[in-house]
Amino acid sequence: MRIFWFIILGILVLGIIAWLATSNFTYEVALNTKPEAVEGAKWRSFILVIVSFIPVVALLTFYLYSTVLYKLLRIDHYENVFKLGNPWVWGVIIALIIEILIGLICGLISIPEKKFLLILTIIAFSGLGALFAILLYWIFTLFYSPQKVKYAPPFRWEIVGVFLRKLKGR
Amino acid sequence: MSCYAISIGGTGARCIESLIHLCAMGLGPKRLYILMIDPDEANYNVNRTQTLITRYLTLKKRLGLPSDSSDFPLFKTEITFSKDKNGQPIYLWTPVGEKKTLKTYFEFPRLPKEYKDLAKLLYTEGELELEWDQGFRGRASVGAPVMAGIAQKTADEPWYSLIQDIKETLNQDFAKLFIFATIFGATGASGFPTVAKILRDISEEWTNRGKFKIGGALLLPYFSYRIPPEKEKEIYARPEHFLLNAKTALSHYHFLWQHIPSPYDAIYLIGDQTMDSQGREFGEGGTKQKNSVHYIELLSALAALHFYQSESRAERENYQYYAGRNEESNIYWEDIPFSKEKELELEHQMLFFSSLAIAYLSFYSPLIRNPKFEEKWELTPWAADSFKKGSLSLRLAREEQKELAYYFCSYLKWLCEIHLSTDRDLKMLNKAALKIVLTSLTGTDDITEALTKDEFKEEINVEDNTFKNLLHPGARTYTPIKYGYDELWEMMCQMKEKPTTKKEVGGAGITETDSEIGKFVTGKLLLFLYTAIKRFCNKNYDLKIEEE
Repeated sequence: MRIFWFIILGILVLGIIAWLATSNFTYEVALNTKPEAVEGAKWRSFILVIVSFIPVVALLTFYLYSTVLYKLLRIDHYENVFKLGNPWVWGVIIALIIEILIGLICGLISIPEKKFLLILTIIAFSGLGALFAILLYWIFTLFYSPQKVKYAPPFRWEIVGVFLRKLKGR
Repeated sequence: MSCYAISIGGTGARCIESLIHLCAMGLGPKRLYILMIDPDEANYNVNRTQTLITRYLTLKKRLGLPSDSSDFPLFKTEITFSKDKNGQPIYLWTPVGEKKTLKTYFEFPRLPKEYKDLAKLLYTEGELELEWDQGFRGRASVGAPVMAGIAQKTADEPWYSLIQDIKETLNQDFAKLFIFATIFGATGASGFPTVAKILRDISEEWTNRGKFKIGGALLLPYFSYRIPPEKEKEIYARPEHFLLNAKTALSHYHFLWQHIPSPYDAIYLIGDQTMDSQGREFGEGGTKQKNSVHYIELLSALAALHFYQSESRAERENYQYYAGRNEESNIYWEDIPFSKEKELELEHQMLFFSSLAIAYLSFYSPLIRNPKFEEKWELTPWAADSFKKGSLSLRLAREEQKELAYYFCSYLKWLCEIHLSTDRDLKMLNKAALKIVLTSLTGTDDITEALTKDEFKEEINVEDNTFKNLLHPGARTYTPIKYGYDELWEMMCQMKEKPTTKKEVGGAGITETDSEIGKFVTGKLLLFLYTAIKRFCNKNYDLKIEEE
């Protein structure tokens, strides 16, 4: 079941990246957001990297969540049940860190003068990308979450649970 | 087929206690009619068994547990009993009425002189004036005439209903009656031949009398206690007399059944060479006479199950059974008769039920009682998928959960007593783990004190390492799962509700109305947990049970 979702979501991610690379979307974003002190081409490639990495980071985080993270919380005491939402939050933090790291690396490579304000702007943009990655990660977890933490992703119980109960006719 | 169990005396009552627990594990017959006989109405062991029967019945009724489900054998036995005029159950019958000494029983002052002399020849003055309200105090000869008096009381309850029930059963099938008694005490030894003979004599007039089978467990000496020096001169059951009592009683039965046939179709003689005193204290009867359950009593209850399950023929039979250990001081599962037989599977069922009790008391009960459980409902997938939100916290559900907790506490205490109140090294369940369970259950570290304590905590704290190591390491080669409760949680989360509308199937198909008021929801929880526990034990202890 889990592998099925990875294949579907993997194809989806690849499709999004392919669409980003071939469409005018990143060009339009770069045109409207470029800071004055940055070259247009560099900014466009930066935006392309950030936007392309959004689904990649989301899928990677989703993979980590559904294979490793949820297992890290051991239910060896009943009170740990109330912490079962934590692994999903760890996924959010991981997505945020990866995106910001991407922004930091891009900033340090593409801004040779080490203008901190500019680097901070780039990091802020990657932070914005992280928000989209987290949103995508949440959507992925709506489709699949391991049995142990089945309804741990926020609102999965309300959205999927209600849908499943409707299907069961209850 | 209907099964009947009669216990005579305090030890017999403890055998019935073991039998009830075996029924709770799912090993009992479909229907079991119970009656306890004891002159000491306040006897601690009798009261303890009465409480247990009440808990069993309440639990079965309140949880909506099924009587005939292959998926859920727990508590499947329908326990029944005689009732008085007001419809109140009679679990205990006392042969002692208003007349509480031999002198009043014989109406001594009105007896002709030759009978008075005969009575004085047979009994000492102390025995003739001995008060029976705390039992016959080790004097079987005092109890014998009182027990024989049952023959005049068969038209009264509880005997009337019992006899009618047997008679009705015989119209269709076999009726199997099993009697538990000790041979080394007074009540059991005096009642064992008499009760069986009275019932056998009554059955002689019935058309299907061949289908009425009587079996009995005769318990030979196996425990001891210390009598305080100040009581040395008084009349009490004395451990130093037990062996002599047993020898004399056996000789008497031999003499008795040499010329007239024994009323028994099968007798199980059960005992041990060691006289265990752990968890046994001297008491003058009543609530003071506290004795822990012993593994010999478990063997007696298993003997009853063996008798109930054995194939019977329509003519009288005469079997005697015995069992033995492979090693002198150790007892393994293999040494327990019938423990590996397919029909009983004691090892598996005891493991399942013990793990279930610990998981419930230590994890699932505290979980569902925690206020955060409802607040963070979605974090419990098995509940979110199969239970209505809030249904497990409703008043009725809470009451059901309390009943279940009470029963599991009684069970775990019994289990700990079986393993810890003998000098024999029982290599069945892990004694180290059971000591932790008992300590947590009673709140005391002193095992001797814990064995005599009867107040339990509703929740216990048993750590993962204890939970996954319940089976004695010497009993079977197994490598426990790394995280026991975690694995069980995963298995609980994989549980799928069976599509059924029948209420009988472990309460799984409870109606919307039941759910609204919290009725039977704990039964459904128990079904889920039991199924998950079975899978867990199969994996953890490498039981190699094929999943259905």
